[in-house]
Amino acid sequence: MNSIKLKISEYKNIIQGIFDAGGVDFSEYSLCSMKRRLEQKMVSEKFSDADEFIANLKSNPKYFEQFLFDMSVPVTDFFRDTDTWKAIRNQVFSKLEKKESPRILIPECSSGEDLYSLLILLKESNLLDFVEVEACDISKKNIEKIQKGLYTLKSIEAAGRNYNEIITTMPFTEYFYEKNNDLVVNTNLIEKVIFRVQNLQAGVFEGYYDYILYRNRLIYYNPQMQSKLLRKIYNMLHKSGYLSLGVGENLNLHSDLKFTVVDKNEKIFKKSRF
Amino acid sequence: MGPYQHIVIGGSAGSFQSITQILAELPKNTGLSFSLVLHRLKHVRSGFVEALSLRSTLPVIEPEDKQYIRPNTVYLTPANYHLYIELGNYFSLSTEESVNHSRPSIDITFSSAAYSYKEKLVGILLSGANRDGAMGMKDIKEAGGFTIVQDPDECQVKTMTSAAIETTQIDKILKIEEIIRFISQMK
Repeated sequence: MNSIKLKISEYKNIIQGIFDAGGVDFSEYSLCSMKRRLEQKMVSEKFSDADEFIANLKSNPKYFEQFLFDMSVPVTDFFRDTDTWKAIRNQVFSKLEKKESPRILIPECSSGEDLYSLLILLKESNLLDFVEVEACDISKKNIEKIQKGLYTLKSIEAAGRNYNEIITTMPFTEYFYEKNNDLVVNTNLIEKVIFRVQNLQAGVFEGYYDYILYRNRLIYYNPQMQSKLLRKIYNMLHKSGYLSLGVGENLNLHSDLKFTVVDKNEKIFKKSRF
Repeated sequence: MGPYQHIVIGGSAGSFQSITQILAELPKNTGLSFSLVLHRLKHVRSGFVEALSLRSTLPVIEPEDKQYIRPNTVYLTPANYHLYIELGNYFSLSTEESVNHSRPSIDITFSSAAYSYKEKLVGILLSGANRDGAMGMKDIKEAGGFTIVQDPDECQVKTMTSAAIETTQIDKILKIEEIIRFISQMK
């Protein structure tokens, strides 16, 4: 197998090239995973060097859109980490249902598995009609794909197993079915979802949210950017609003932000005023 | 030889017992840190770190994202994540697609460790049923690190170790007892 190992100077040139091409700032991503993904992309698309790759990003807007899509790491499974979803239902939903018209945000919805999982759980908790759900992503293609509700059939096994562990009110087939070698998700769920093409870093968010679901996205940023993003999230939350991170993520490095721990293992936090 | 800073150990089918043997005889207070990348069930989060801790001489921890790497500590890659070792001596987690049908993938951790630790890294690859780890071992070797593969004749499943031996001029091919002795003599 052919392989490319980018030098740090080439890596930086590419990051600058991405910014020049589309105004998207990749400079504070976790270095090793971003570098690896760039290298793999260059190999699979047979670019001979960084300059050729950069030139293509800059000269071809369609390619750039595809590039943003390819660089956004998909969420892995529907209802990934089933214990987390049970905790969300028990600890967060029980508080949301007491609010007037709660607002929920997924700042980087990526391939949308967490979004659909959330919507199903809301529906089965009789909350879907009472909440406003907003989902953002930097890749327009990601959002278009979510709106079609088509997923790889490979994901059906994990989806079914996870679903049946959490949802007992309706069968799996209420929301998922198999068609033409795809796993199709019931797109009625997203009817009222507000989609916006933007990332958390540069995006504009108005008003306050009662719950922000931000799982397994912070991991792609370096510690400095994580701090900035978490500060932004903190300021976007209602007082005593809730935040979910991925099970492998934590707020340890950012102790200046006042959150209380709601569920230590499932990484649910609550904004605290003191 | 050395001085080394970090040891990465990769294993899959047939490696669990060897890992527990190694952990039971790790030297204390050498200042070394260890990362274990073991193929494991994606949807089973708990129990594994506890099982490995039972006989280990050093604490075994599943690191969280951006956790700093401390000496005299063993880090076990958490279920359903890839584990990168970043410049600056800390971990990053990732949910990128499986590599060699595996998440965690040995290649991902080994290659990033090679990039971050260069000649201060030792890579050890044990029994396993796919080719994960072969590219990672190549990267370790090319970055100046030291490479050890468990003797395929001793492996329950030799696909993984044989693939690494085919891909790279491995420094040492050793039996588990010899690997334990090798590590215990490290400073």
